[in-house]
Amino acid sequence: MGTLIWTELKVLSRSVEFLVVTIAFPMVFFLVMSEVFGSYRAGGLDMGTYMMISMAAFGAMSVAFAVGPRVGLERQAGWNRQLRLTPLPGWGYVAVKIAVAMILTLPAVLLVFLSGLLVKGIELTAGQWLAIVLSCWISSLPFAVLGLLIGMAVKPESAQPLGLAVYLPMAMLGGLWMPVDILPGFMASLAKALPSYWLAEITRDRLTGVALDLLGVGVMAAWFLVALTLVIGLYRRDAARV
Amino acid sequence: MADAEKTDAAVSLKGLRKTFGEVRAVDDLTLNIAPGEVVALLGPNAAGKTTTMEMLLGLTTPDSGEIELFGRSPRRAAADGLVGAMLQSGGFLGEMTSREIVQVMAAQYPKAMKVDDAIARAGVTKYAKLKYSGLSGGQKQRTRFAAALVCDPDLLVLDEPTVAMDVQSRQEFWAAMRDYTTAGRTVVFATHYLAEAQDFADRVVLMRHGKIVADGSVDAVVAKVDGRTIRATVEGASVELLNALPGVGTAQLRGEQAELHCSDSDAALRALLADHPRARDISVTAMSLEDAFVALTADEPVMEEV
Repeated sequence: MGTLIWTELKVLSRSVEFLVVTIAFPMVFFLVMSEVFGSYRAGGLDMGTYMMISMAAFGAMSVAFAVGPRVGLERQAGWNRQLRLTPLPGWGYVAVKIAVAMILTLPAVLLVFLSGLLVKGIELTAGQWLAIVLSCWISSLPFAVLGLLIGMAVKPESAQPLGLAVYLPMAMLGGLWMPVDILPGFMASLAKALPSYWLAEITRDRLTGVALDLLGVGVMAAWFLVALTLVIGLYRRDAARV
Repeated sequence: MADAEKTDAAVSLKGLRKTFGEVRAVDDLTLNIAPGEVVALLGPNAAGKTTTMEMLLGLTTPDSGEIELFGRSPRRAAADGLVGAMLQSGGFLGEMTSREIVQVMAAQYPKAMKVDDAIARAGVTKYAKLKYSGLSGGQKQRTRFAAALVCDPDLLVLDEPTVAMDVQSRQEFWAAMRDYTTAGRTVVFATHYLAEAQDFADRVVLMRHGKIVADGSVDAVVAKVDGRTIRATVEGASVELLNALPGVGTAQLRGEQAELHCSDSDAALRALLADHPRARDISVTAMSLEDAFVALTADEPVMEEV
């Protein structure tokens, strides 16, 4: 599995577009957005810090939704069939896909935080930095699976538009572009059902000293498990069909 | 011991059936292949060769029937690293280099051969660092061969392995295969090039409409069809009369040109000359595998079992 993960990372890293657009874009977005909302305060944090975490969350999502759907191309090429002839078990294939998405999520998150530290001069303790990095990274797990789900569910041509159709509303309604507080009430309550909202919220809570929100953990775990179940189901369908 | 009996065959297919919609791709197919045999699966398009191979690899689930490779399930055999395959439908990612592809495949197996060895054996060394998408058809096929070979399998399954290769590549490919099979490995391959089957296979399995119509050595399969063909110019003959001659399987007549596929060409020739003393331009030729192939796999069988 290690070689497979490593090779996939190598292949992706050869694509400059992928690196720039997917991994660096959230950082750029953060630098722009934090200028726009510069003077507000939200959720007990200054706007810079607040936006930094939102954008790191957005970056984590972007990567997951960029990497996962690529599995559609592999299904089209027959790569997964080839791998099914090897001892690599089905769960191993799924685990590799999730691992690749998770590994690539990390630099996107780190870039946003790094630009917060170096460009925006956001000051946090080392422990706080570590806490938000870990929180943001681990909480992006449901998205890694959701991205994969899209790639497994539809043809490669449809994966990209479907991915956008899921990920943009999720980012917006989850309050990653603007605080949920300024959204209308029903949208704000809808946000609490979304993993994107909790991804940012739980990470921000690491800075404000709020205890881990069990509702948030539950919502994210539910998304993760449902998506994973569907992915496994679709993998089996693929295996049985042809 | 029951277990020993079970593991006797490299491939054991029993009563396999697979239907796609209305089409019976494979219809009650039973086939045993002993370890060390090199078997060519022949047949026209849609004869069920690919479906049979995919079922024996565990990629397609049969509607009914049993499959065992070395006495275990196809999935188990794959997990044990016993099977290497070149599929028509199995593909690689264009962005990976040949070497990366072989490397990834090798990494899945506990006892794979060295990546560079597999690459060298398959003749991929020169372009191992190029992206798969940029390779020619023949180079892609060789990359797939290296990927199938790298696990050092006991059973190689090859679906039209030389399909995009030029003549020289094909020769090199089969030379590499010969090296491989001298070590007693089992090979099952499908091909449209009958010469490859003739040169390379110990045994030929001819399929039509999902069934086996002939199975044996090339000579045995050729002999299964009426042994020889008599061609002659015969005035005033009729197909019915020619068909009725002793030793004749089927007769065709175009104008005065008669073509008799014979099981006993000596008897047929004597009878022909007795009935038509003025028959001329007579030639008697042996059947080739190609004649046998056409005769045995034609949609309206030229020769029915009597």
